[in-house]
Amino acid sequence: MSDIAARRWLFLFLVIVSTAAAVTKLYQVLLVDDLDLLEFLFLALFAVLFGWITVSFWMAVFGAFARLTAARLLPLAEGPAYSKSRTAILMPVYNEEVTRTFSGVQAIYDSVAATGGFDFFILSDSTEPANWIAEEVAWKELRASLEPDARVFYRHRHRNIGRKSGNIQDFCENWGSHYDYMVILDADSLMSGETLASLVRLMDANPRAALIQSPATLVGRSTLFARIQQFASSAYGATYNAGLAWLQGPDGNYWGHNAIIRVRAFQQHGGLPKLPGRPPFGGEIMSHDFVEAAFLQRAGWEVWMAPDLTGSYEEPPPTVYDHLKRDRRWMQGNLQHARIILAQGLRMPSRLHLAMGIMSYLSSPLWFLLLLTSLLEMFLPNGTEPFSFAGRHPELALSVSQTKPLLQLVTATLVLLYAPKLLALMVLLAQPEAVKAHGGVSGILRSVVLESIFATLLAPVVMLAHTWMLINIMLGRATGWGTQTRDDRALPFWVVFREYWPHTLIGIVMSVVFYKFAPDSLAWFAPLLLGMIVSIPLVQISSSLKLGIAMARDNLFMVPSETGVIPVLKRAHQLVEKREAAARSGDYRQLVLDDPEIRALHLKLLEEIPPPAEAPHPQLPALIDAARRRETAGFSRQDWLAVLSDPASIQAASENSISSGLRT
Amino acid sequence: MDRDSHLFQSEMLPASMPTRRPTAMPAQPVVPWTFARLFTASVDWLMAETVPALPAPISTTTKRRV
Repeated sequence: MSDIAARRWLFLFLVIVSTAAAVTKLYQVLLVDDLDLLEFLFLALFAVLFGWITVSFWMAVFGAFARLTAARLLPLAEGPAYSKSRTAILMPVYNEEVTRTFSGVQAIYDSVAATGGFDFFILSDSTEPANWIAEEVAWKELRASLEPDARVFYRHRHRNIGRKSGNIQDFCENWGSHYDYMVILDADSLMSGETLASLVRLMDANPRAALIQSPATLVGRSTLFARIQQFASSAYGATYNAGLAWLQGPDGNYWGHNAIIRVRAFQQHGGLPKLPGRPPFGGEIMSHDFVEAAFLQRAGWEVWMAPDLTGSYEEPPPTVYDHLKRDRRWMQGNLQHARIILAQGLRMPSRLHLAMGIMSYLSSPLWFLLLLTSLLEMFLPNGTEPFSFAGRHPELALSVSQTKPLLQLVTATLVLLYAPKLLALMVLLAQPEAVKAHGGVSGILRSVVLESIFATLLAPVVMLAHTWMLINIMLGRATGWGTQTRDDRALPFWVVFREYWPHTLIGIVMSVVFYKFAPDSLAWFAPLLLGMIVSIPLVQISSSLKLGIAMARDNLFMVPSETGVIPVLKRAHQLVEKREAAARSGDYRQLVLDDPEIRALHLKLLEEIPPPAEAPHPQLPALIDAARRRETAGFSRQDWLAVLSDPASIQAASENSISSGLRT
Repeated sequence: MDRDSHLFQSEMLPASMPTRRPTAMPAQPVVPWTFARLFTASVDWLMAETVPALPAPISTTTKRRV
């Protein structure tokens, strides 16, 4: 048996044995007064959920063991520094903030300048006309600031067919064959030149590898919530990723960005089908990454994770509200995988990745269901009488206390929930360099305690939010794939109140019910109820930028990007500031009509993309007339897109501006 | 890295993208298991695992395995 097979069997054995032990214990408790239907449901839910946290626990144990014994997590050779391979770095954008996107591209470009060998593609799917034109201008300015032979390309699609995966597919079909590899980024991703070069060398030396994922560290934000997330990702992520990498080996997963992909393999096997039926479960595959990895593995390719490659970054959502908004899309995307998980030919590890993705969004609603079941069990009159009869004579029933086994189960659950953090903390404290980079022992310990309290209070908020999302998805209310908020922002109180008053109300009502009818149980549920009751201040306060910065001054939640300098990140921030200072004022859509230079650029770029497939806007002549008179105030997004997508319309609309300019 | 520094050069200024090199990217099938398919696949797998492959035939002229 190979090492990895032995590890997997051991992992499976430990998960099954620990889950079975807990379930047996609960079964014995419930069996005292016979197992009714409600109790059976409770037991089944408990088995699933306990099994789920057991997986996380043993994953962390394996990760900690791998880290402490310095196990080789990516057993692949690296090719020579001299590489003939050609790599495209792809930055798909969808109405993203232009300054940030192009600053990121330039920072990565500067970082790989020493290495060379990379071409950059900004693949725009932006549907906002102002973003589209601003991107074109930013691309031209970026090109002007780089050396003349800089290979930084820009392409816009009129329609974002297939969303991000469609965007990448369009690249692969048209330009992919120029390249050996492609690195997919997100609009808020950053990667260092060194890491990119390492990924290329790994791909060069391992021709069976189709994809290597470098886990992204969260960096670059300053709200309290974001800083807590960044700390958790940095302090615990290394251990968790080590466990995952050690168990999955060549059967890894793809997380959508910060990964290098062999273009030929992806062209042949990464094309996504449209699922039969309507959204949310049918239609386009929303969370494409897991599925693409599964398809590559089905075709015999290897998918690896490189947990030790630092220099791969992304930004966390700034607030709980934004985090949950993203979860809404990810939940729908992951639940859709239920349609794929049983597809023919997939490898078992791929099915497990899909199942874990589904479970990470189903676990919260299942916890909620477990809670409801236990409440019902508590309040519904049960069938057992305090005494029974032997003939005519009452016989006292034996009073059996269930406190001890229940307490054991609760303790076991708590250990499984918090032990991964402690294991990761142990691994962190064993590395003096890492301790320094996270603000020292005292800072780390205080941060871990506060992070654990925050995570505990947030858990019931997430539980209710996920449950509500699941109900909406089941009712067929599909979600779009909107732009993400990538700015630090403190949430306005009314937004927080509007979103989280139901959580607060549920918490208060449940507390009153417990206090009235089961005061003894109130203490058991206190952390859960408290989280719900304080959800509004919790979300509001954690969105604070000031508090995030104040905590940093107090040496809390420090991460290596804050205690030291990460060149690519520093460069990106400098470029954002520089670009913001030099930002052009005015409406970019209007500038196409008014500024001959921007118009010439836009027309030149339009020549390179196929014209829109759909029929022209029915009111196009009227729109051109209005644009000619500069009466564009009432133009909708569609109106602008109609004019700006058609070279003849642009020419016609701008002709008059030249003559009117001459008249004045 | 060994790179042709003039690659795409002529196409890039003022154009934005390299020349297209069309390559089809077929949509991969997602065929769910049905009981019948699962049964057939299981039997196939079981047979492949349990029935030993026959040795290659021996050529009548050279008396060697072909």
